[in-house]
Amino acid sequence: MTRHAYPGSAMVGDYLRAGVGFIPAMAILVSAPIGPVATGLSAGFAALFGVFGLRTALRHVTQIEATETGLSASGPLATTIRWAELNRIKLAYYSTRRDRRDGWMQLELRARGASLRLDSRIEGFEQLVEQSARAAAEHGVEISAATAANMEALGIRNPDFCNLPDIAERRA
Amino acid sequence: MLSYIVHRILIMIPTLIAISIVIFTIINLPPGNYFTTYIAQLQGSGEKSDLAKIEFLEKEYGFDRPLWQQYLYWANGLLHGDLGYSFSYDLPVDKVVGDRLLLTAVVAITTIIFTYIVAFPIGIYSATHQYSIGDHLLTLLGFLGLATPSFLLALILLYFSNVYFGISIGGLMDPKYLDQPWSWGKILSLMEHIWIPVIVIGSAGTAAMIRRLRANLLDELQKQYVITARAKGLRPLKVLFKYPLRMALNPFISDIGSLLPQVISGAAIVSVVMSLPTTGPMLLSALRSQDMYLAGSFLMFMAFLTVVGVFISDLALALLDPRIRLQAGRRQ
Repeated sequence: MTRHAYPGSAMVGDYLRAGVGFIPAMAILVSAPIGPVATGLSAGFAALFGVFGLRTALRHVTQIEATETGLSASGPLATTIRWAELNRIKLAYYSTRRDRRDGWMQLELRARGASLRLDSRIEGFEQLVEQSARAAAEHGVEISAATAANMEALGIRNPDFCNLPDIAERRA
Repeated sequence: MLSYIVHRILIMIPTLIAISIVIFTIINLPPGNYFTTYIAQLQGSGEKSDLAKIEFLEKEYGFDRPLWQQYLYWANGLLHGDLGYSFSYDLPVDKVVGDRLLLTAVVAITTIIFTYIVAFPIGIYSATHQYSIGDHLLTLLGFLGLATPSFLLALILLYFSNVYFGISIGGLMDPKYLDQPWSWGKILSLMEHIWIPVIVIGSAGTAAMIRRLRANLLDELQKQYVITARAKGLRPLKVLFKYPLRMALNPFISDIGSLLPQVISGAAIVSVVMSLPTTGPMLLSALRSQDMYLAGSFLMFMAFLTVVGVFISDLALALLDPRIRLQAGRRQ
């Protein structure tokens, strides 16, 4: 069993982003007079950045436990993904730069009635992706071309995992 | 995705601030301001100007203050939804603009929908039937669309509809609905009139998009994986829609960002020619008369559309193909 958490240093940027968006939006919202369009936009931004700040805080206190049977998230958003029930895996890469550098990845897992999203800033992200990929292959979960390409970028070669030896061994 | 949206919005905000500074600076670059131009015009025609009112407005809107203070005043107003005051119309900008912004948005969105609906099947047909008679005809039409200025097409359509059909196709609705509140009659009249300006404004963009889709799809169709899929006996339509078309769509989506402002700015001259009650003609006259707040609000609206358009296309691309690009074995 392994434990994974988001380090505080990795979350500082998101807290700052939430603050930089939320505080000015609220400042505009509470200052009068303000037109209806500006009210709608400011309220929208305040809600968006507020939700983002809240999600950052929730992620910060969440711990992930990876076992042979699945992934468990503890904390306010506690959930469990059992490998046997895994029905969707998606590994997406996002970058705001035109050259697509300096981006981050997000692993999305869904099992019967449960879903879990993990950001690449979590400790041991690659290990979690490897385990998820292996479980997906073992249970015949379809892997999209984009997900496969992103896995390959992490060194996880695609995937007829059912017949292949352990990924770690392959990479060695 | 939420992280991505937040990151992108935080990039949009400094971009819009930078654009607003550039817009404000450019509008203020010519010597003098609206009032000096106005007084000169009145004096030139031998009329008396209401100097007391002009002095009051100059003070009220901070024309006597340094430029950076004027900018802050304007930007603060924009943030609070106050677009300022149009000196040439002697009304607040939002009252002057009235339905024009809405009509501009309606024309722009309809034009974009038209562009996509027409360009998409024609582009696919041209690529899958390369060098056929249909492809040659559509290519010819495409080049004609690209080469014909929109205002010229508008003039030709106006002439022929008047001479041969005896109808005027100018305007966006029957004259009786102008300056009237919205009603079903007004909406129906708008729908009857809108298709001509949409065709005129959208023709160049449609032609360009057909060419791009054709070229992209031809590139994809010649790739090894398509040949393999065909060799394995997959149905032609399945081969086409499953991968090559998806790949060829990426430039389509990234075009959304540039399409919105292109349609609106490109429509300015067409609007003058076809007497469309959109923002284009008003923007031209505001820029000529240095009506600072009116011109500034229009330009900020267009900048906002551009930035939002790029944002939407980036979001769509991130949803459609969230993959890392590998080049020479390195993460990119």
